[in-house]
Amino acid sequence: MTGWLTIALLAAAAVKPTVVPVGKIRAMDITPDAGANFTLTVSPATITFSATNPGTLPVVAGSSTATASWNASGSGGGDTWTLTVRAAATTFTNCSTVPVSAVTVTCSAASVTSSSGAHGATANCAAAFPLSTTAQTVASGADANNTLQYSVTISFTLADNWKYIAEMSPACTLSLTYSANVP
Amino acid sequence: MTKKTTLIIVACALLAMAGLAQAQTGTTTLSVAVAAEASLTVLTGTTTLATTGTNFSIPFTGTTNLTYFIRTTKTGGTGSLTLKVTADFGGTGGPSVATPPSAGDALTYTCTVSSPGTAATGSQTASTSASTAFGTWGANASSTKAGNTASAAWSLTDDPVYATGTYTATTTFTIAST
Repeated sequence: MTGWLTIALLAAAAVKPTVVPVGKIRAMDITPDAGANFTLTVSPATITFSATNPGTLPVVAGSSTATASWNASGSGGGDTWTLTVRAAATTFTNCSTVPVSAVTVTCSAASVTSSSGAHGATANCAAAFPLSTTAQTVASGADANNTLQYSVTISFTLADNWKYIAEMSPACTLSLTYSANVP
Repeated sequence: MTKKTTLIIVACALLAMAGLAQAQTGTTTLSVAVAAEASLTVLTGTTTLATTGTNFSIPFTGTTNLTYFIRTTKTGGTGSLTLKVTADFGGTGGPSVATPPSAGDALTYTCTVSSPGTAATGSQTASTSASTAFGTWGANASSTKAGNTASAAWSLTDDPVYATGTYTATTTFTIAST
């Protein structure tokens, strides 16, 4: 979105105000809104871990996988779409001894489909990685010039540790932000 | 002149549209419930008690080493490590925790518990009827991932009335955290 505004301002600066048709300027102004016209849906809203005993259960699986999905029109031409995820903080809220790096993010499935049939787009899972506050790619692929349905399934595990201070209530939480980028 | 300028603007717009990436965000909340827990590993499965004395003035001694693992709740959490003799020395004429052959005979121990635990103070007398103190810890406590060290230094009275032989007792350690 920032790149688009810069170009528009440069174009306007190159034009003498007295000679630019008003109608053309209006047409340009509405273009950025149309460019980001899709909704990223992530389900479920909350995933829980039950860390009981690091000695007997050192790695705790999340209560379910998360699925990120969206529909968008790609530009084609071999451009790459990506889905990234990042944590909002370095530790869980109410559990400052539990770092976000204790959570491993694993893409278990990624797909791109089209209701219009063959499309040539691809979807690939990235390797598993420890969560951090830096956006990291979960899945990516080649785009196609169609309206496509994207879906990425993600699983989470928590490495339990004796050094984590016990906390059952209030809950220890962490917000993750996904970003789907389609060229 | 007017028409030419308009075409430049439209061309810029089309170029900008071609390079425009679409991006949207979504969120998930991860929630973790970290339970209080405790665990214990007895490193010295069999501790041999021996004496270097020749006139019954030096007791039989030996050391049992442990590794303990704990985590307690931030507020109100607590925990303890205790022990109990669950099987007394067997055989006839030998030492006994429950019924010592002579007054003053006893199986005692002194504890060492690394932080965050605190060892029971002084010499403790082991019992077959009740758990005895070894160590405690409080709220907001946690061990290292590899565990923390603890040990029991045993002392058994060397009484001339003990019949010669080898005698075995079993001690059970219990650890708990909230």
